[in-house]
Amino acid sequence: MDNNQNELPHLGLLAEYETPEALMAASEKVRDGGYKRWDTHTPFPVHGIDDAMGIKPTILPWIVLGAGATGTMTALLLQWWTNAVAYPFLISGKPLFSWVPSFPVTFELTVLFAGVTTLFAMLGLNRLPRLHNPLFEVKRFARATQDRFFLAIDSADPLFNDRSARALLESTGANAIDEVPNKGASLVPPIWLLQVGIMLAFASFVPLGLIYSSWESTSDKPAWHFVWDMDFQESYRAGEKVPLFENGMAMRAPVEGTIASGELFADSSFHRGVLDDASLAIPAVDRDASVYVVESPMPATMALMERGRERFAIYCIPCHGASGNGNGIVQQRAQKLIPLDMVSNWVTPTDVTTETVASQPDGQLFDSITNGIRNMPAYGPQITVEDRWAIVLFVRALQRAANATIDDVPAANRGGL
Amino acid sequence: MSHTMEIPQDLSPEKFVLGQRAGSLVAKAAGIGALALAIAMAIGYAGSDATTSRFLHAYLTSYMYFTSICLGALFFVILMQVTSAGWSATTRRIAELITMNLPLMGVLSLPILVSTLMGDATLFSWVDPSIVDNANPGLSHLIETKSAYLSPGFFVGRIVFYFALWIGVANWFRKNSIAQDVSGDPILTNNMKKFAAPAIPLFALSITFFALDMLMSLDPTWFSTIFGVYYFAGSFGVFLALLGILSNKLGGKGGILSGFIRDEHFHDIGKLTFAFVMFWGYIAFSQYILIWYANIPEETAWYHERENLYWGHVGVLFLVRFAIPFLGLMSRHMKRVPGRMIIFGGWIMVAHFYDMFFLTMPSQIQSLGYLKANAAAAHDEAAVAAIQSAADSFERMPFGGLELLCLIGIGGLFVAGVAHAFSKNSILAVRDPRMSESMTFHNP
Repeated sequence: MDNNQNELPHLGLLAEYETPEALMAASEKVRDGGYKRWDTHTPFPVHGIDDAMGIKPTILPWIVLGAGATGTMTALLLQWWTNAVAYPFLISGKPLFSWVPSFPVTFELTVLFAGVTTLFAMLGLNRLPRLHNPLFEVKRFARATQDRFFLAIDSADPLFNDRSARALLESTGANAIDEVPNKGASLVPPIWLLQVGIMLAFASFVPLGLIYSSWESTSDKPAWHFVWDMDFQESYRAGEKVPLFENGMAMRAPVEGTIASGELFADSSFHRGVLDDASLAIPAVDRDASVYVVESPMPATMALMERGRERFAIYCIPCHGASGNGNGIVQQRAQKLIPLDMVSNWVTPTDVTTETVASQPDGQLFDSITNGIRNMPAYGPQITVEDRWAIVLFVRALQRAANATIDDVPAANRGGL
Repeated sequence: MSHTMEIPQDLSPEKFVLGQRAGSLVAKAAGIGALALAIAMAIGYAGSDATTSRFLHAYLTSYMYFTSICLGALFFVILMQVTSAGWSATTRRIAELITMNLPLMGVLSLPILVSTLMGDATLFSWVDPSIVDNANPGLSHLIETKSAYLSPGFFVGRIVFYFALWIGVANWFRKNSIAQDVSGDPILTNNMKKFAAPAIPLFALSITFFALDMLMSLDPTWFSTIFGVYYFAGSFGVFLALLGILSNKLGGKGGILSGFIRDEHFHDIGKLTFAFVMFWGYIAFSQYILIWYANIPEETAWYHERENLYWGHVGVLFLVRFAIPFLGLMSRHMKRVPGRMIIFGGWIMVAHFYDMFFLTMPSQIQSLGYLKANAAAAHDEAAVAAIQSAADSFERMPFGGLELLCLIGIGGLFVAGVAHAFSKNSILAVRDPRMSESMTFHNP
């Protein structure tokens, strides 16, 4: 705002017209008069007013294009950095970063940046929002939202001269010409608004500061529990100490000398794969192979073999591989992670088709599945006894297949090889 | 603002028959097309098994491309009727005439249908029941469970049924619309609107299963539930692109429909084209992203063939078929200024062919695998080596003579069909009750 504005008798001239056509004609005259700081106000969008006012095409599309391109790059960088740099996590052999699956997020961020920028750039280019416009001081201007069309020339225009501007507007056949009174109202917001704004701006740093300080410091107090859900309940957990019972345990043990239904595992050779349960007192690695059952107690049938194949596919293939050679998907992935230093102390899954494993008695295989061995966890709790024997049978088939000769193939099928 | 045109009172359909202007094209296009197709067939069937396989895939690519244009046109006709669209009244006849090519496409499906019925598994490996036994045990189950659906007789029956349905629906709409040129009876419009509603689900189901049968079953182990929509999105998009080009040609300065098809129509067709570029992108990404994240081997195999094993084309396809036309068609001027739509309309037509190529050609590896197993079973070492070398050379994008001949062949016949339709019929629905709306509306 010019300093000398307050000395002017008024802020400009406002002309009123009855029809959009009259406004268009007046606009063309004002445009040709060379004025720069002037505007029109209409109750609805008037087609062609842009040309009549000599408004140049807006630069908004270019700003939006720039913002969209920024969104594209932001999204690609964000996805690349999070997935391939900050937290590289290899998933089933997929590349750490690939631009095709990144496309949807890229598209969304492009549209988001472009859309938000469109709004704010439009407001900025139009100098909005504005709390007050001096034109509101002219009473008849209220009809700009109903049925009248207005043209206002700002007295701050370098060409502005009260007499010539008035003459120009009169020549356009305006209904009425008003002076926009200079009430001395400033466009600067009141000082209290400024103060509140500054205080809010400072206050907005407080949550950020709190987050930063808790990030950087340690505390012996429990963390704030923001979301409670059902985290705290009036019930006891397994292993918790309770005053209710004499022994102080929350869990109840079965009555001495009883066995739950279906949990009578009396047959040591069938349920544990050993001839005598006493041998289980020795650690597995020190046991002699002779303590185990030599041959599976379950007769080898085709149905049992199929069952074994199916259970093997579910429980064993991930580590041991489809052919049992120890090259399952877990092993393959580990081989890719080791060079990235994401895995240490890796123990390769055993090749179950080797002579070492093939020479073990059935009972020993059964025991390894049941209780686990080296890094392999115990599968006894997950796989039923019958299914464990079925897997043993299928492993035997794998061992035979791995060391097979042409004589193992029925003569009729040899042609297909 | 363009000027509102007065609707002439004495419109007669004869004025809008292109006659010899289109008719002179028929014999030329049909001749070139038939010749190209004959050469392609001669090369394809006379050559080795690998060549036959390549010919059949190339044929299917072009066949599905031009069929998709006809189906897009049919959908346009139904959609404009069911929504009582006024804006499109001056362009709808173009779509109605393009659907006249559906019988031609039905006839062109014969090489595929006949070889399937004769038990030739070169194109569709599921035709040979023994693939269930020969497949990897993990995959045989996937083929076995589909065997009732994927059987030659049922397959051929379905294709015949789809075409009977489409031809019936298209003829009914066209007959009524042309009858209105003379009578001007508004009841006809009401009837068409009523019938269009049930035609939509019929069309949706038939195009879905058509895409599953003709394209998805090329790899009988692969499945994608969105595949029908994928083919539909591309079909409608490519038809709109063609409509954009034709209406710019016919409605531009000096065109026979000049004044009837205006900037406003270019703009509206452009907007719909733009929308269906986005819709295709949405569907294609929906399919890709789910498969990418789920990472199930029997699903990823299909993309693996297209991205890693051969050409690395998945990303390129998204760029060509989605990103570039999306940016290109965004601007209002691109859609509105006469003649501009031809640029990206043409682009989309090429990109859609690339899409069909992308869907069809890599499945050749299924066929080559099957042929190789057969040759090996027959102890034909020379054939095995020939097929292996064909598979090895497959890494380059195989767009060569056979593919071009098939494109020119089916394309020539298609152009001849369209030109014939345009030369005999009025290309403007002169007495459609929505004509005045179509000629006076304005886009905001």
